[in-house]
Amino acid sequence: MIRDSLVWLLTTFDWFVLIYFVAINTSYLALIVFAIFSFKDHLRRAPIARLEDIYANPLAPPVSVLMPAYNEEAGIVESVRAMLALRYPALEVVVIDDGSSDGTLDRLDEVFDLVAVPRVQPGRIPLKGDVITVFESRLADGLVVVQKRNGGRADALNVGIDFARSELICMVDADSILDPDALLHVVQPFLDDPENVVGSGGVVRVVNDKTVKSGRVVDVHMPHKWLPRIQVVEYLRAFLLGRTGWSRIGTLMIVSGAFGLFRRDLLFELGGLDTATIGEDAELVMRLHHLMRQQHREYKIVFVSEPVSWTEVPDTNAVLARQRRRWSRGLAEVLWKHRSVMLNPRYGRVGMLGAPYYLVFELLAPIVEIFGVLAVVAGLWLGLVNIQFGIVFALVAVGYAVLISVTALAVEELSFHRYDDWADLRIALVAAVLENFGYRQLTAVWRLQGLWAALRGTAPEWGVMTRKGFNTAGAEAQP
Amino acid sequence: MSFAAHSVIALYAVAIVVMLLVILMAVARSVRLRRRTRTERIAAPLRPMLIRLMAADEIDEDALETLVRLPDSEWHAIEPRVFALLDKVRGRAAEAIDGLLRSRGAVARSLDETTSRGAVKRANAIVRLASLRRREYAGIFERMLQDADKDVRRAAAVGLGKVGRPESVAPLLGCVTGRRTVSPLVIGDALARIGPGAAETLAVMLKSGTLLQRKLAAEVLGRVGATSAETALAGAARTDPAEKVRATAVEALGKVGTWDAVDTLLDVAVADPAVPVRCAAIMALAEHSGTGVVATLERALGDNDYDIAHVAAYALTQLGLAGRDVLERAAARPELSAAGHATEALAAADLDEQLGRRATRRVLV
Amino acid sequence: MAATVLVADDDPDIRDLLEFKLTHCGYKVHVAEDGPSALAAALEYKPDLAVLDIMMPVMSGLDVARTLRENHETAAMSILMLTARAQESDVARGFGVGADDYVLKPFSPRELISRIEAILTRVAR
Repeated sequence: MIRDSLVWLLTTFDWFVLIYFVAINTSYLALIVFAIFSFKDHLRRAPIARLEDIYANPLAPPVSVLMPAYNEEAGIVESVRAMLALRYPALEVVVIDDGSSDGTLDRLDEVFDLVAVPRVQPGRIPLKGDVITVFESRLADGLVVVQKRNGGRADALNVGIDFARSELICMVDADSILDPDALLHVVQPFLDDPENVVGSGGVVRVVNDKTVKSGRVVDVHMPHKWLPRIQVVEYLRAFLLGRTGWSRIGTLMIVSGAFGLFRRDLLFELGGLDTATIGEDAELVMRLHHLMRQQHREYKIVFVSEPVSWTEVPDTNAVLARQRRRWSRGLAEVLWKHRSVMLNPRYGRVGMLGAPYYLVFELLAPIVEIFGVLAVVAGLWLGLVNIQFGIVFALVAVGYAVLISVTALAVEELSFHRYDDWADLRIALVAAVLENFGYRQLTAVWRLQGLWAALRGTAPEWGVMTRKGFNTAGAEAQP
Repeated sequence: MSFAAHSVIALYAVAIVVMLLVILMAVARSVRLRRRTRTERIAAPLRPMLIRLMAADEIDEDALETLVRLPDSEWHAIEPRVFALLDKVRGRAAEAIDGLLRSRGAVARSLDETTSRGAVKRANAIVRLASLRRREYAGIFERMLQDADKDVRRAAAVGLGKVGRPESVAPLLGCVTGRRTVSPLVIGDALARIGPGAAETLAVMLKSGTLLQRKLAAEVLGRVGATSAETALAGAARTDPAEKVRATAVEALGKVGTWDAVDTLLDVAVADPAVPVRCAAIMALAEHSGTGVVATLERALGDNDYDIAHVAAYALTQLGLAGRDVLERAAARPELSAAGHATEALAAADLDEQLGRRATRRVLV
Repeated sequence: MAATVLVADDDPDIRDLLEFKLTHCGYKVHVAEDGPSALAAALEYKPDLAVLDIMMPVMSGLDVARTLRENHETAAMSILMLTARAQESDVARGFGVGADDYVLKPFSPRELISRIEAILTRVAR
């Protein structure tokens, strides 16, 4: 009797898993289709919406770029150089040294000749780690460095927001290098619709093993190692296409911490970022949705697919594992904290579509991916499901997924085509297969661990990402 | 068919789709690379011709001849670049390019394409016509401000910035709100390029338009430096119901205002209920001197609001010895909130002087 | 002796046009396509006058001008700023860093040459 029910349970579960995989891959396909429409619009607009007009336009709103840094001495100078070299008419760069124990501040001083300035702290957002000193640079106009006691990334950003002088705040990572025209692009939504746009985000791409010269990524090729190569494909599918798709249907729920632009006055209203959360960037956007809906304000958060923030991604399993555990845990925390939006019509598409999607197809996916696969294998072995089921399952879980990844590559090729070498295309195709043949399963394990940790409420692990710095070509130029 | 057969077919289907995508990518890449090299190959020997055409004091007949005689396919590869040259030069150089374009019928073609069914074609046609900078096209652009496609509207607005006349101001302002809008930034820029001739219409809009229109009108009046609009701006600064409009009007008043504006600025700096408006007034006062100004700023320096005190401190650094005096006295009394701001402003001003740079980034409030 | 002019602009059409025209008028011309190369060229060739585009990537024309004025080897160089930005504050900033003249784009090449000649004549006196 019990054996019968178990058999029935396992069989049903197996079918459920099959349907789940069909659903998740089809959802990616849907996002890709939405993204294609966006790209078409965007690309035909490109020659007409001339960036020169914005650059020369004195009405372009000033932007403060905030860069929180913790032990970043390897790449901080290059990142800051890249920010200062951004083409934008009114820009300031605020680096927040979050109590680094290495030479981050010293490196900045060496290159930019810092001088302490007695700034009054506005105190508009409560802070955890005290501010020690504020510096300006003798050589670089518009660079501000704030030295503070360690308080975490969210706290560092809050200090930056407090000291920032512009009405628009752009938050980036200390290991991000923005394309020179990135700000001109990511600020466009604010220019097109100044009354309603409250936030915008750009694309994050993989910078590993690319040459950086004078603050610009000059040589775009696939990374040397396979792990980052696979992440290139993953980022194309999930970030470039995924986020563009969500944005197209007005359901953008996450703006990457490596490249987000927000209105400063709203950040004050929100009280800054949440220092108690790991996924502080996603959490901020959710709170923004809350605020706007509660106040019944028309608003838009837009993803712009052209501007790029080049970021270093983990190239070892250990570091990647930590990152994915952290992401999973962050997502769990955010969804739990904002569970009131789940299937709540007051939150429109975010509540009815976005949040449930992230719960079922992002957060809980690793459960299905691991236990589901195990259950199917068990089912096959016990003869509960036949071999055809096994084949269909393989098709759907792997074949369909590879198809999606290759589609993502094709869309990238037809739209932005940032990788010009034929060799890069070949490598990308192999990576697209490998992504679904081992990589996804591996990351599923780590994501599951992150989810488990979130459920148990253990202390979060940030770990140390050993920065390799950037592949700088040529001698040090002047800042 | 059996399930097994179905699944095998599905397997093949997936593989085939993947193959097709790969082929698509390869083809797209080849086409793109070939097109790029082709354009460069064609353009390379022609660029010196264009340069000579522009550089010559009298018409360079040889260069003109070569370019006019180009086969159509080659001409089309470089036509957009030739139009783009008109945005870089003017005078005789531009006349030479203009002549070349006419000879090739490019102008007539572009006029034709403004009525094309494809929005991209229409928009590109406007961009090209706009480079010619001819007043006679202003009417066309004004009409196309109401086009259904937003890129066409945008191109038309930018075009009016290049050739617009005072009559274009009202249609441009009409695009700020409504169903067929254009980005206020683009409209603002276009209005500013039309220049002081726009001031009259803008002053009227300052009183009667929607919030966005009034704000834009104030902004542009500040940019074109229209002292004739001073009264209208002063009125808006005092009485407009919207905070954003008052703040913008105050800013504009600071840029164009004469001595008479100082009274308005002083009143607003003290009495306006909204902090951003008072801040704007204080900033604007940094351009003027006089005992009334310094006294008002000294009071503002002691304000509890960070923004007000901060801006007041900065403004005082711009007011010579009298301003400095106030700051140094305030800095010497650390028990008051004003001291911090004063110290900050003095240190910043000293640093700027040392480095020989203007304090343009100090306050981007 | 022919005067030397440095032309710095990231737009190849403008670089080529000015190089052609200035050479035609008897000047010796060097070109640069961004801030850092402009500085390097200025230090190496010590031109009599530099035409600097403001909106260049990496390092703007204003920064180049400022650096030239701070370096005693190049402090006396004449500087003409060329730009599409016409705001009053930009013009002030341009003169503020020590430019001798300020020309807006779109510009007339003939007029630009006249201005260059005027500056160099003034200096020669």
